[in-house]
Amino acid sequence: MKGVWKPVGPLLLLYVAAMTAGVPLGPGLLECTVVDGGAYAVRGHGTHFADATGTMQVFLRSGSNVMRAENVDVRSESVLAFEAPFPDTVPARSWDVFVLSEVDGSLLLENAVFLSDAVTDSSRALPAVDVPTLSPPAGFHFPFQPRVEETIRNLMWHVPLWFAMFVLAGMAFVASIRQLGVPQVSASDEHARAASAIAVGLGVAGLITGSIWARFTWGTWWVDDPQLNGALVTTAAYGGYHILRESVDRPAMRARLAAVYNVFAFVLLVILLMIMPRFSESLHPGKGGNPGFNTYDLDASLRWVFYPAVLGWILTALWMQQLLLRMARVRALDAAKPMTPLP
Amino acid sequence: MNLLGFLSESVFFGSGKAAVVLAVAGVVLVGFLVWMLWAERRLSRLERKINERDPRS
Amino acid sequence: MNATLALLRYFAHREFRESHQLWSLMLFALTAVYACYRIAAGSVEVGAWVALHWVVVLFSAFNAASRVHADDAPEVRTWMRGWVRPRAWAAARSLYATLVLGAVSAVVFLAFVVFLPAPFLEGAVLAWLAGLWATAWALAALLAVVSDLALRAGGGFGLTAVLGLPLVVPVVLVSTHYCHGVAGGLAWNGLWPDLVFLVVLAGVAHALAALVFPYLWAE
Repeated sequence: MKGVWKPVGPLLLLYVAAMTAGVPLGPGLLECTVVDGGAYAVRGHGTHFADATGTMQVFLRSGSNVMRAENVDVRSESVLAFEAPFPDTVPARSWDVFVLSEVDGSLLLENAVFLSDAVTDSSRALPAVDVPTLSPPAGFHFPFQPRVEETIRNLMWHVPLWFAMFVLAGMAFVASIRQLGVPQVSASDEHARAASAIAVGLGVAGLITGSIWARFTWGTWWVDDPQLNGALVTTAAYGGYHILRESVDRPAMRARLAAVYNVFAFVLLVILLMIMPRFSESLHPGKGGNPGFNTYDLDASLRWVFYPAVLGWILTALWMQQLLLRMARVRALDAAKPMTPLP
Repeated sequence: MNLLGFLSESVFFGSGKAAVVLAVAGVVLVGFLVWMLWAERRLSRLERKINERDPRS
Repeated sequence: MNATLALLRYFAHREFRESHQLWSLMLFALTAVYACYRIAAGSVEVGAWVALHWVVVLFSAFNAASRVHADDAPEVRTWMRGWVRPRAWAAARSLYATLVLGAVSAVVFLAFVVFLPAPFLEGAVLAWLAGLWATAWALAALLAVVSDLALRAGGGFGLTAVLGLPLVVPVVLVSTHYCHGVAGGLAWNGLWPDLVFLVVLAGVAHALAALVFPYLWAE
């Protein structure tokens, strides 16, 4: 049945919206501070320390050296205090803290403790400590990532928007190539125009969601990052495509010039968003040595929402493109202007 | 803790603002989808009229 | 190849017949450098020197690309379509633009060295010039097509800038990274990847121009 695919995209997006708002975040550790008496306190997010009192174990790790913390004191569901019996000479100054809890599983905070005044000897090895392995907490939840925390939910909006933009830009590219193959204005020109218009809209939405995300994770609305700069310039290039179209009156000339420019814009997109970020330092997850999000969805919780989000945005964008095409066709037919019929 | 609980703790962006942000985003998204549905129906109606007027188009 | 060389010779002759265009380009470049000198009050730090240099080169590139010649007129182009192959025209145009921009860039560099001396470039002048000319090559190839597009669309410098600026960003990013490296005294080991990437970008720009120019050529 014609058009039965159209509601699928929006329905998927509604599912994604519900899951994004409703799925809880897994527990994690936020920070470790020094408290009175030289003890340390870790603060957690989504943790249940009070529910696991008596079974909490805290360890400190530096490289292969592990030591058990002492006098573990649960102060609240999210605050845990402990004492660290560091020897006079330590193998290194920086120590990770990990907390084992029967309720929350194993929680790690890297570089939690820094001993600025300590005497170090890298050859020093601490006695081996038996560290139990615990299974991760039950239940469906998004993984906790330091610094990203709750904003991981933006993953379901920001990244799929860009995926959809790539698809629409690719469609515009193919349509432009087909337009160049014929001397007169063809339906491909309208396809390219509609796809590029949606690509610009998706690009702007991607930039806005990315900027909001940057504000929370990096503390600023914009940073000098290759991925961000590439995204902005690519969106500007597709905007330039529409400016070019508006500058030309003759339809055949407009179609050809726009198609030529679209080829350049797509090559620019590939260079700026797919090639250059892989070779430069970047704050973006997955680039410049930063871990990508795919290393954190071992329980597939993100996949259950992310992949439907990608599909939902692509289908919705395709529906939007089709609406634009049909609007243009109806306008042309209603004005009794000759126009090549849509395939 | 899920996002709804997170919001109620007023940790995110001060009290109530996050709820406003989510509400606005929700309205924009739902409104946009409703507009697309309306556009789809209207276009179908117009195309039917044009086809009735001129079956060749 | 013969056609391309013949066209190059023709462009050179045309340049000397309309020498005011080249002189105006040089004058723009020199006055821009002088303006930088006045704004900087005689001295700039390394990063600002590199940035100013590249801004002047970039706008000189747009100026060079936006020049309109007699054979850009539609009637002349129609006549030329009878005997010039579009790929030969595209290749000659890109190569000629590269030569002009290379010359203008060298003049910009000399002017900068005169007005705002750059002791940090001692011993690295060749590396600097290599990056300058690789950038000129890439910019010229891209802007030659974009300016043709803008000309056909009835726009001038403005439309060339609007359409061309996003497209030249990869070149600008890589070349400024290279030049900051040269100015910062980075060893050749750290510099050559950027230079190679610039050359690759120039090659991609030439290839794209050769692919799409026949479509601009046809009416």
